[in-house]
Order: sequence, then structure tokens, then C-alpha cells
Amino acid sequence: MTWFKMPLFLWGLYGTAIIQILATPVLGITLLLLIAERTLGVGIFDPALGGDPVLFQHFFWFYSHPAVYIMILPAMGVISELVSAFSHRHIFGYRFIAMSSIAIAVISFLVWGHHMFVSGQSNLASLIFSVLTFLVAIPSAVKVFNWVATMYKGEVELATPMVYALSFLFLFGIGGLTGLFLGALATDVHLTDTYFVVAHFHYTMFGGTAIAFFGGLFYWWPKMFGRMYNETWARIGAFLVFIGFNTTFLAQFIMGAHGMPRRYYNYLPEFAPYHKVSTIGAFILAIGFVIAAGTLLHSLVAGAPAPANPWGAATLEWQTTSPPPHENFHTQPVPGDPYDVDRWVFDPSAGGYVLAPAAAAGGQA
Amino acid sequence: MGEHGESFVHVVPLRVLVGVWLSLLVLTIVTVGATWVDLGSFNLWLAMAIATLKASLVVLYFMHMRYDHPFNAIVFIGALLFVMLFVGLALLDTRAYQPELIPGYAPGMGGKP
Amino acid sequence: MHSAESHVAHHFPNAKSQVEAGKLGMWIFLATEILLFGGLFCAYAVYRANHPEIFIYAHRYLDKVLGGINTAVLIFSSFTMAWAVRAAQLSQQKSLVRLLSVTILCGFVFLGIKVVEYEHKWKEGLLWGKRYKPVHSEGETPKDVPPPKPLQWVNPEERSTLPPPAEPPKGLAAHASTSHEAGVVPQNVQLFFSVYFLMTGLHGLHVIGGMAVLAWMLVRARRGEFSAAYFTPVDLAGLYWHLVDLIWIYLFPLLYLIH
Repeated sequence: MTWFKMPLFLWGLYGTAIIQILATPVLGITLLLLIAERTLGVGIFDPALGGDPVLFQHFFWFYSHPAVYIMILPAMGVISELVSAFSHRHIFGYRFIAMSSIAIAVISFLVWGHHMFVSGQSNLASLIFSVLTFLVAIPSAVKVFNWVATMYKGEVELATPMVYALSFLFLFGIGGLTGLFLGALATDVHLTDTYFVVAHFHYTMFGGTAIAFFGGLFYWWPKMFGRMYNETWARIGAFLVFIGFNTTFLAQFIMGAHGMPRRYYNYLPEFAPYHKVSTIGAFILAIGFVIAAGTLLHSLVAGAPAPANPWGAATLEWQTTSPPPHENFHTQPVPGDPYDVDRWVFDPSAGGYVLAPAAAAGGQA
Repeated sequence: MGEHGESFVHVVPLRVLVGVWLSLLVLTIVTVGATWVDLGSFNLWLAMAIATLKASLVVLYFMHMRYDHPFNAIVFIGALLFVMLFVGLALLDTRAYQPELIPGYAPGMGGKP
Repeated sequence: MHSAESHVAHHFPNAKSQVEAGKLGMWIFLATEILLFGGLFCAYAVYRANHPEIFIYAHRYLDKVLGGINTAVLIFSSFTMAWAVRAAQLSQQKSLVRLLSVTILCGFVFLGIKVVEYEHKWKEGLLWGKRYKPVHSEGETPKDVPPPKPLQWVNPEERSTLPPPAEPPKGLAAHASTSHEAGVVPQNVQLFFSVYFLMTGLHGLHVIGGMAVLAWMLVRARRGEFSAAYFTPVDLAGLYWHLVDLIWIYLFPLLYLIH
């Protein structure tokens, strides 16, 4: 295994690890200072004792902005796997996707001040952080365009994980683009602490991370437990999640832009219809998740046995049995190109994909 | 050396260790002595330069970084760069908003004329 | 004696990659430690840059001599630690035990001096934040302290649409009026002592942690566990101890030697 034979999921996790190592200690010292503040009264952040509360926000967001990339980078890695596997095409721009994970990890440390535009932060810093914030769009867009390019002229198979992956592309696209509104200084002043922020956050974190998590769960479920789930019900669940999610949070963009503040339990009557739509959406979302969870649980007792490679993916885990034996492989596999999906052909007798005879005879070059 | 070919291990000669220790002591005396010389704001930078020199000696020889896998150096220097980034941007911002503070709203921060 | 083979876990192809993996792990841990202290250095830099008069005034209450001695003690302990690693690498087990003991002893000396310093501060009431209640009378304040440099003051109406308060909010303004009258003593001196106690306190905790690890190494060294074939634990404990020394190298001029 070499760096550029790693699946892109691992590249995503690698970027995540960089962030965790560099950002989490700052959260640690922030918490230590807060503990000292509360128990000893050191006053580092307390204006009554000469401290600077805006400095606390710097401490907090130096960790907490990279933290959202801790959540999204593994999700992006999962999507890279799904898009290639279900388009039955080699991933487009492998190195660009890999490097964009690292770029996102690094840039995530340069943008924390965009949470502080109305905190009393100086105009100078706001300007710098706003410009840097737009930089994050570049590696994110590199990923999205490469995923779309992978699907182009591929045999896109709308299996459940792919339905989630397509939901991710749509929802994360909206989440990412609305981030640009919030990164722009003037519009941010209008949108700060409104439902627009709530909707943006959920489109990226829920529409991004949670949807990718479900996509990954349905993708690796046969590998983890050796059981196939009911494809029809799983797709119905995925579809309801998509509909319910948009119903819930699209309404929040609109009312946020109209001025509905977040964290208020009460509101003007003009916002009531949006809240109603949002609530109905939340119930649809819940039904979708119950169906998804029920499908998975049902497969554990009544699912058909899973073949080694039900999807035709080329990463190493699909070359062993489902579920894998102790220590994963009986003989040590030779890592090759993790996205060389053309070597795998569907074999009806196995119920899944097997190595094409030519590829098997020619070894794993 | 060990019986199983530990040739990848670098043993720092005692002469080098003693030399580094003595240099550190001398530099400590220099940094204390430098406080008697008035160089204005340059005093702080001098003290930091001496501290960085001392730190480099410790890292390079006591911590073997000179003989180590270069990736460890990348990890270490990377951490330092991120600290500088954090301090730099926080400093830039707090410096920039000091004049805008209104005394009385946050008495410790504005400073009264 | 252990053979080299028995120390190589089955997932490593050879001793070299195991040693390097261990070192890399330690360096990554040290990176997180640097970021942890980085937060405190950030707080220091922000307050020193914005309120230099506090630091110039208050650092005179720190004892340069004791701080200097402590620096020398830590540097010496770093030297003996590096020597101990060398002894382990050369299978010199007796000198390894001796050098580890000296290193730990230096840790005790350092902490002892620190306790003396803390005790002085405690008696004089030069404590952090809300515990700052100096017992010295105003006449005892150093005469050569320059008056605080007035910070740049801008009429809030030019900068902000907020009206200046007719009366400052209650609970916030107590210090602004009282400490201002003294003339010589700048406002918010407690900030310096907060920073001082937080930085030296966290560093002190790390010294204690390092001493605990070294004590464990000492026990294992006395059992004869370390040799040229296997010395990684001593090496990694040493790296940690050097980092603690490294942080002090910066703390000493930043806190004690302000000009």
C-alpha cells in the first residue's frame, strides 16, 4: 500500500486526523481556562477583571471551525467511494480529490473569524477572514465537480447508497453555496443568528455528514454483517429522508432571510406557515429514518447472504468474504488501483461481482 | 551496538551533549544580561531570538531531531506554524479593535485617558 | 536479557520501523502539547501587546534570581536526560539509573523553588484575577515605574453609533475608578498574575507528569529492562522531558525578564 493507492475515504480520514491533532488541544486549553475562570476566578476572559471576552471567541472558534471539517471530511471520503462504485467508473481526478482533502484541512484553520463578524472583532480581521473563507469553496468545488465528472458517461446504478450519495451532492451543494452568503460581510450582518444559519448548518452537517453516514452504512452493511437488505424499502427510506429533509430546512432558509431569529421559542404570526411546513418535514424525515433503520434491522434476521462484492467496487475490503474472517484476509492481498472497477464483472451464480477472468489470470498488476 | 543490527540508532557523543549544555548555560546568562541593556522594543525580540536559539539546540541535539526521520521535524515545525497562525491572527484582531472600545462598557480593556 | 526480537510487535516488519513509529507517535503527542501551550502563549501575547504597562509594572514582583536558577536546573536536567538516553543506547545500565535519578532530583529542586516563589506571592497577595489583593502599601511601589502610557483614545461617537453610557454598567466599573487614582499602578495588574499562574502552573503540572514517567523509567531501568536492543521508552520519556524544558526556555524571558 502506498499513499496514492489508498482509497479516498482514507485520504478524508487523514485530513481529519490532521485537524484533530492541531485543533483539539486548543479546545483543551480553552476548557482549562474556563475551569480556572469558574473555580479560581482568573478572569482571563472576564471583562470585570480586565479580561477580553472576544479573545474567548478566538479560542473557541480556532477549534470549533476546524471541528466542522472533522465532521464533513470523512463524509466526503465516503461519497468518493460511493460515486465511483455505483457509476461503475474509475474515480475522476483521484489526486485532486485526495489533495483537496488536505487543502480543506489546512484552510479550515484560516477562517475561524467568520463566526465572529458581529462579535466586536475588528473590521480588518473580518475582512481577512471573509476573503479566506471564500478559499474553502475551491477545494470543496474540486471535489463536487470530480464526483459529477465521475458519473458522466458512467453506468449510474441507483442502489440505495447511490441515492444517498446523490442526495448528498444536492444538499451539500445548497449548504455550500449558502455558506458563501454567510461568508460575505454585508449579508452576514443581516443573516447572523437567523434561521438562515440554522438551515445552512443543517444542509452541510445533516445533508452532508449524516446523509453520507447513511450512504456509507448502506454501502458497507453487507460487508459488516454479511446480509443484504431489502432494496425497495431501503430506497423508499432514502427517498423519504431526502423529501423530509428539504421540507424541514428549505423553509428555514426563507424565514431566516425574512428575519426569523434562531433560539426563540416564540415568533410573529407571519412566520407560522414556515414553521408548520418545517414541522411536517421533520415528521417525514423521522418516518424515513425509521424505515431505513427498520430495513437494516430486518436484514439481520431475514436478509439474503451477501456476496463478497455486491456492488462491483474495487477497494480491498470487497476482495474478502462478507463478513470478513478474523484478520480480514487468508492470504495477503496485493493492493492495486482502488478504483479499477473494470476488472470486476457481475456473476449471476455468485450473486455479486467477481474478478474478470482476464484480470484474474493476469494477476493484479 | 545491539546484536540485532541497531545501526539506525544514532548515539550522540558525550562531547556534543556537554557542549550543548554549556552553550545553553551561556545563552541563559546572555539573555539575563541583555535585560540590563536598553534596546527599546528590540529587547523582546532579542530575548525571543535567544530563546529560539536555545530551543533549537535542545531540539536538534537533546531531542535528536538532527539525526531523526525528517517527518518528525515536519510534525514539530507544523505545530509551531499553527501556533504562530493562531497567535498572529488573534493579535492582529485584538490590536485592531482596542481603539474602538468604549470605557465603562468593558473597563479593563479600553483604558482611560 | 531480552533479545531484540521479543520487543518487535507482530505488526511491525522490523525493529527500525517499530522505533520510528513510536517516535512519530511521541512527536505527534508533543505537537498537541505545543498547541495546548500555544493557547496560553496567545493569551500572553494579546494582553502584553495591548497592555504593556501591566507587564512592565508587575514583572518586578517576580524573582529573577530564583527564575534564573530554575532555568539552570531545568537545563541541567535536560542534559542529564539526554545523557541517560545515551547510556541506555550503550547498555550502560548503572549510569542510566544514576542519570535518571539526577534528572528526577532536578525536577524536585525545580518544584521546590517554584513553591518558594508561589509562597512569596501568596503572602503578598499577588494572586490571580479576583484573588489579587496586594498587601504592600502604595509607598512601597517601585519608584522607577513609569506612569502608564495612556492608550490611544478615540471618541466613541466617531467610531460607533452606540451612545457612551451615562453611568457605566454596574459590576463592571469597580476597578476602573479605584485603581486609576493610584497613578503609578496601572489598571488590571491582576491580569499579569493570572497569566503568570496559569502558565507556570500548567508547566508545573507537566513537570510533575514528567517526573512520574521518569520514576517509572527508573524502576524499569533498575530491573535492567533497557539496553542497546530496547531503549525506546527512555528515549520517548526523554523527548517529553525536553519539551517541558523547551517551554520553560520561553516562559523564563517572557515572564521574568520583561524590559
